Amino acid sequence: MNNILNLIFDIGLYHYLFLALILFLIGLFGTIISKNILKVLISVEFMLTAVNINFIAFASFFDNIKLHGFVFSLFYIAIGAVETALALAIFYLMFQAKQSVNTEDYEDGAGERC
Amino acid sequence: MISDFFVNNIYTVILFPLWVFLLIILGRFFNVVQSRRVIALMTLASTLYGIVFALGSFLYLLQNPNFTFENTYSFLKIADFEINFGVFVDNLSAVMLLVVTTISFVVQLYSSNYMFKDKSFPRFFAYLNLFNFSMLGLVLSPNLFQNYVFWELVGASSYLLIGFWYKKPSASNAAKKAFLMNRIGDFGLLVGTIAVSYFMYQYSNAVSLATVPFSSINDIGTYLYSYTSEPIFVIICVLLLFGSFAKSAQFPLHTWLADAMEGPTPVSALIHSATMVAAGVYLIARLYPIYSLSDGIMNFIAIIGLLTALICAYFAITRNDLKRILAYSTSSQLGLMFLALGAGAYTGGLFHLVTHAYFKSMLFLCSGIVIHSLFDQQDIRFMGGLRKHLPLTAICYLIGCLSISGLLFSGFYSKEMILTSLFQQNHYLFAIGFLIVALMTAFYMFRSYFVVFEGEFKGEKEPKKTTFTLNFSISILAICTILIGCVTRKGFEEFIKFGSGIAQSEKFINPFFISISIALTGLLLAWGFYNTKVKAFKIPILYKLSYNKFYIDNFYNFIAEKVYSTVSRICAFVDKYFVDGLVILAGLNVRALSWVLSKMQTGNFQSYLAYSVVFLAIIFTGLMFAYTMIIHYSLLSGGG
Repeated sequence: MNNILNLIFDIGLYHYLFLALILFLIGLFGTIISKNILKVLISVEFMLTAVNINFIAFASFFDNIKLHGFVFSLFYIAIGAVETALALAIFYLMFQAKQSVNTEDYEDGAGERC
Repeated sequence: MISDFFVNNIYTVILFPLWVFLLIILGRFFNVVQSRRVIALMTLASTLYGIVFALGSFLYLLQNPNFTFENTYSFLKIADFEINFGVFVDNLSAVMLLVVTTISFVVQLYSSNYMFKDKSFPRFFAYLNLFNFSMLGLVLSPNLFQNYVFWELVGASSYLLIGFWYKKPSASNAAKKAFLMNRIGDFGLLVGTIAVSYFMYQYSNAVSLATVPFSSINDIGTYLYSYTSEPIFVIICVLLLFGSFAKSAQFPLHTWLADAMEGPTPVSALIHSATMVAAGVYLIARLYPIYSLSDGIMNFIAIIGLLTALICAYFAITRNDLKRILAYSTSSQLGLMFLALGAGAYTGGLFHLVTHAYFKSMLFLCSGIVIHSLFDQQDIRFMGGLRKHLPLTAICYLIGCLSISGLLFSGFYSKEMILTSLFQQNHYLFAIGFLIVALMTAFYMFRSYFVVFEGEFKGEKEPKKTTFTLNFSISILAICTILIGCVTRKGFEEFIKFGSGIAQSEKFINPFFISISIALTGLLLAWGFYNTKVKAFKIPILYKLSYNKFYIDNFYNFIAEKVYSTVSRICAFVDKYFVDGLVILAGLNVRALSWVLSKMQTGNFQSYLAYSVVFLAIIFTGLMFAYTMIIHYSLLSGGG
């Protein structure tokens, strides 16, 4: 019992990496199966967050002096915000064109031609 | 004195007809040479040139006994194996050259008139020149390889000429039949040639013997006999002989010659009686030093020849087609030449070849005149009494009949020469066979003479007159037939001989009276059956066997139609359902895969993302697995 509790609460690098993996897979899954284009965007943000967690985890466990990982993840958060703004602008234009947020309406019909 | 100019420039004789052939073909193509007269004159000029050179070298060889001339250049060189092409003149080829050129000349003269109204006159003369080129090249070949090349060329030009009226199905079928039959023999000749060449190249010290030059054929014969075991030697000889059998229409392969009569009559006179079919006999005479080493082979040649002579003479008795009578007669006479060569009557066989060439081509040309004047009627049952309409033709035909029966003129001399040597060498069985053939020959030849030229005319239309050129051509050959026997008989024995010639043995029964009386019997039988009021009777079984040619043709047709087509059908089945099935299966696989791939391309970006994730996962897994394996095994083997 004690061992199991130790395993759960004695938090190490692998816990962080596992969390990041779960988050990444959830994001990937959401990106692939979501029909709503905004949900796809949110899932992409999930994946970005997972990568950030990875950076921070490695930085705090192996790079205590220079903290490159922290700096990098701050940059990533900024870039993610910009990316989201840009994506929303594109979605707005797409919505104006087709009056739809469903990804199926934006297929190019390549498969039907064969 | 004749200078050696003719002998030294003998190669031009081969090239002149080739040049005329190209001139006619290309001239038609570029619209330069259009006139039929010009074409005929060019052809005749090339052959006349050949006659002059043949005569010149013949006379030169007469003055210089044991002289041979060889002039070759390298044609193909593989390491130290070198095939030479060129010319080789000795007594045998000089005689053949003279025969070929003179008969060619007469036949070309004849066909310049006979074929003049034909639409394809230039094509006919182009083929004649091609044939002339090939035949002269064959006669003058210095080695067996060139011999083979020209052997095939005469076969090809024979094919073209038999199928000259290619729109007639029977003619094109006959051409195909002749070609296929000849291919069987040519295959044997090729394999035999290569086998001889192999033994010479592998075992003899002289590399030059590897191409089997005719100038040293005596040495080659001895070497071959000593290098090979008896069965191998016999097999090689039989293979070589097969070429001769096919070309000369001998027993197993004799059926093509009668069908070859579908070609124009001048072609039959030139190729299928005098020159090309004699090439088989010529080749045997050339390779005589090899064959004569084995008694079995010599007997084989003689037996096949006698068999052919007997059965073809038998078939000729019941033919109703004038040209087919002559065709079977040709086969039969060639069989007699084979018999003579096989029984050791070397000189007699070749003398018969020369005399036969003249009178048989004359007979064919006569039959051409008859057929022409009766508006292409070939069936002798619709002829008769033509002596009144075509007196000169009748006389020439009679001369030919007398000659081929051995009663008078050249045929008498050559047949007597063969019979004498048969008796001298104690081949009594062959001599009896020879006499039976002579009896049948006289019978069927005079049968055709009496039915065609005597009695009453049984046709419908009045025969038309012949022309001067046709009469002139047959007259030349008639004069040759009359003179050639008595003039050249003594000289020929000196000129053409094998070894030291035939040793004169002690007194023997003179075959003169026997052969004459046998032939006269045949003549009288024919006269009795076909020129008197006595009704000719038929013995049912014998008549039917002869009429159906022993069912040999039917047997070959059966093989071709039933057996061969069954095998073909099985092959076609395998091809269709097994070989094609595999190919179709491969195609189906590709189709299925492409169907899957096309369905995968939905156009939705999310599915593409899913594919890329899956494939990336596969690739990374693979890489990690490989990396792990490398680490694992490098640790096992001690690091590194």
